[in-house]
Amino acid sequence: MIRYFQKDKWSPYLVGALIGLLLTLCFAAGQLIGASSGIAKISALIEMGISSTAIQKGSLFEKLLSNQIIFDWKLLFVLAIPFGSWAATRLTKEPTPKKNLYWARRFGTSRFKRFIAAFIGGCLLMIGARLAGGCTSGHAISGGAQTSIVSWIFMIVLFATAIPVSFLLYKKPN
Amino acid sequence: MELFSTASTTVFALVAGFIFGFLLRKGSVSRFDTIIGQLLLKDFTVMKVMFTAIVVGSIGIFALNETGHLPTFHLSTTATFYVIIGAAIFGVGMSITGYCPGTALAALGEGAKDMIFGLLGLLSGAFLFNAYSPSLLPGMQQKDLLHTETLSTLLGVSPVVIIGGLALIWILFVLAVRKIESV
Repeated sequence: MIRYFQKDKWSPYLVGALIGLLLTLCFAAGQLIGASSGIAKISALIEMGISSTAIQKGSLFEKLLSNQIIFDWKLLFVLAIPFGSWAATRLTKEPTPKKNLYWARRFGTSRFKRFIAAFIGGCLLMIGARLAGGCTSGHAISGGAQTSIVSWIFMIVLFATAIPVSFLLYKKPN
Repeated sequence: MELFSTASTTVFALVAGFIFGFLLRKGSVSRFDTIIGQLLLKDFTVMKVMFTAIVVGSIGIFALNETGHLPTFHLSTTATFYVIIGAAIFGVGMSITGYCPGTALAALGEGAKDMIFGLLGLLSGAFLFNAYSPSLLPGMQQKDLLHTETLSTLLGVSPVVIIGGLALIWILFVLAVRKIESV
């Protein structure tokens, strides 16, 4: 059993099933799995910290802070994610593969380039998520499992966009 | 402003997030090459994880619904137009970043330094959206059938039929991927 926790990678079907189980437990407690609004809440808290009068009426930040709780479910959930991943990494004894190979073969090893892309990509992810009202965790998994039709639409459009763009960006150069 | 809500919600949120991050890492979806590998249709790990999570999750959720424990569904009320535009922008972002917000956080936990900038980008994107949000938000809600109904209530069939259908598609997916990967 301990050996299994030392593996680098588990069966994706097992991981998916366990995430589905986790989602069910969260749902039973009246909560959903989500990541983008939790991260957006950090931004809202930053703005509140700078100046609470800066929070515009009718804005996203006002909405995120409206429950009058700082460390709510959404925020605590996302704050815990990196720690869970870290723990899983610490337990891993198997060798791990090299990282970002698809990026490096197309764009080289410049960290600067990668950091800029990560920043721009992050901006687009959040803008897209806020327009759509969720991300892959919120829409695809939580919405998808409830068979919410707009969530399925989100997933389809997401892949229909991301796949061609990835071919353009990362397909093996000839 | 309260710091925390109830003790149980606080503990549960932290444990759930921790487990989610743990599973993302062990699923290897906390890696750039796994996600881009999926988008290049070379590595089907992401779809295996997502699809299985959706099927198992839907069984669990509808089972809860049927056995008398009645959690309310939280269906998205974002207008379809914005869901589509948002998903497209998100797709471009996911391709450039190599992650989604949740997996980006898991990558951070695994030691991916570029996701420090990914996180800064996510936070900045929130500020950017927030600036336009007072004029955007009112028009973004939609309460039509697509938003208030699950597939089963919309089609007027028992959830068992829907979940049975999903499970069947999942089986076909597993067989198809096996075929693709054996080549």
